Amino acid sequence: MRALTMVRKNLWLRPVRSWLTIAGLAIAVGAIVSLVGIAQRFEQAFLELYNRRGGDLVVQRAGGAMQLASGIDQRVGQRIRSLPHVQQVIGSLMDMVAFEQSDLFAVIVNGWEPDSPVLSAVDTVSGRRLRAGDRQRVMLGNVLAANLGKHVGDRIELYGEPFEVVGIFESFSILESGAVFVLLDELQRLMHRPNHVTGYLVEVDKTGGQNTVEQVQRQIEAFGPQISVLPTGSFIKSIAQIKVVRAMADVTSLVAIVIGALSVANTMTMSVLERRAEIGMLHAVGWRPSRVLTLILLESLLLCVVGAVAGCLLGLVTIKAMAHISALSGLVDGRLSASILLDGCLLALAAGMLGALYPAWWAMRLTPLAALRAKT
Amino acid sequence: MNDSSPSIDRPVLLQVEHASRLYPDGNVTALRDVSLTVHTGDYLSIMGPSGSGKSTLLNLMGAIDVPTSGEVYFEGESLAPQRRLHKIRAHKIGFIFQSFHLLPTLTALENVQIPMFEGSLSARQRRARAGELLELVGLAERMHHLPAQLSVGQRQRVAIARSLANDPPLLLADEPTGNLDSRSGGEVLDLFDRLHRQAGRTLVVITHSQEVAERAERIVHVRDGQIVSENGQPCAR
Repeated sequence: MRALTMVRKNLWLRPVRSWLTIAGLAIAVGAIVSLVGIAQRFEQAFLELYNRRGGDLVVQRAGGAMQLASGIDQRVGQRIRSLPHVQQVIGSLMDMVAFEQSDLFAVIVNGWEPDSPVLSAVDTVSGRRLRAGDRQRVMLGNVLAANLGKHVGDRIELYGEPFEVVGIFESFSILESGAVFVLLDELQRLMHRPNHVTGYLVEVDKTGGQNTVEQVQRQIEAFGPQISVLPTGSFIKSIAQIKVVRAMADVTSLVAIVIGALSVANTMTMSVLERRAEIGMLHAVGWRPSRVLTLILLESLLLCVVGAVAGCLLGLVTIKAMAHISALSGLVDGRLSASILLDGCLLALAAGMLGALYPAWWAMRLTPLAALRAKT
Repeated sequence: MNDSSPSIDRPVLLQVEHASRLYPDGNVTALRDVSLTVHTGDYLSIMGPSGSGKSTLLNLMGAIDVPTSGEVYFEGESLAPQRRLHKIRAHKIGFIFQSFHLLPTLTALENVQIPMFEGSLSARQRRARAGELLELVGLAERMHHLPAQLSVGQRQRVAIARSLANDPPLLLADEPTGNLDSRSGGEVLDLFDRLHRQAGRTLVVITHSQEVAERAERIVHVRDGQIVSENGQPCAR
């Protein structure tokens, strides 16, 4: 017999309790990997979008806690374009709208200039692109079009006005394929923010060296204290919505892991209390205290490993299911990274070990006299 | 002080010297200044009414409890509390409990292997040795059965096999037939006889039963925490 056989069989003594503990851990791990996964994918989606659009710097109004609520004058864009080493400047006004009848509550609306490289970068799968002079016309990302059940020629309502769908596009980014594109001046009119954009994405010609980006950053910052310039990565980490999602995921994970640890602690404490006589017998036949401790910790570890694996599977199923919920399908793409799954497993194991520490210590300290005194 | 031990040429295996055991919780003195010598190859039974202190004495002899005052020596070494008593229990002493204390999820073969984890045998060697011991106690055919699938007599024989796992020089049995019917009890006592006579094991058995006690060469009576007689001869107080 190997020690693991004993561990496995000890857990099998109370199968219902063991499976319930595993289920509790699996739910905790599932919640962690899916929530943290969503937060991470959300952040990665932004990063990928900005990187593939060729952005080195993001220019916004300084001090705006909420990105969507702040704005910057379009004249700033003109000044940035005139700076040396600046290769491309993409301005965009952004907002979020809801299509409540379709259960879509956070749909991104982007206003682009007619000659914006973004408009020419997306693949038009049906209809046409927006062009200068288009009024009350939109392009829909293919995910959004599917969720709304709209096709080219159909109408949607934006800000209380009817808009004709002139094209449906596909994008590498889940943030764009679930979005509405309109022309910039049209969105400025609808949002009552004439001559303003949410921000600029600036691409720098880096042939002059790596510090060219920093040079351009300093030049733009010199425009005035009302201008904030951040490298793309730093900007994404500063987005309030991402911070909120990440904080919510972290807090929920913490709660889940505490509940998981308490669940293991409860199970292992009950198990040790019930098996006092057996544990006392192990001491009486000469098991060293550390071996008793290891036995209890291994039992907990086995519970946690099974719980962690089940939790990862649960998380994968959850996130796939969430990607099919229309309200989230523009924000969740149904993928989980290996690092998230690994983190979830490690957290479960840590919770399990933490939860088992006290009962294992208690079992280790139990005197062999308990074997003679306890009744089987 | 009372030492009932007769003078014997065989080497001393275990010696209890002026041992007292006080339980402060209940303010109970379970043993008072007891001395007892066990020689290698002895078959000793300890008799006494409930609460007389005989189990306390067995616990001290088995290194699972320590005296409040006095000393216990095993093969000349003191079983002081700071010593690593688990090593002595693992390799020098085999315990047989009244209620067997077998692990219910393990087969007979696996239960017998439990003390062997403290030895240096491989998993394969542990299994082979457990098989031999179960054969010795007449349970070769039942080695893959769980305790619940065995009769109480068979369970006690598994426990005896387990006590022999690390080939200890001393076997301590606490009411080994207390939970058995007379036939099963007789089988266990026959096994003890064989272990003593054929294998030269040293046995110390606690019992209420005169019949069980009479199987031993030495019968020590304990009352009120003191040894009052050995083999019918009163001990000096």
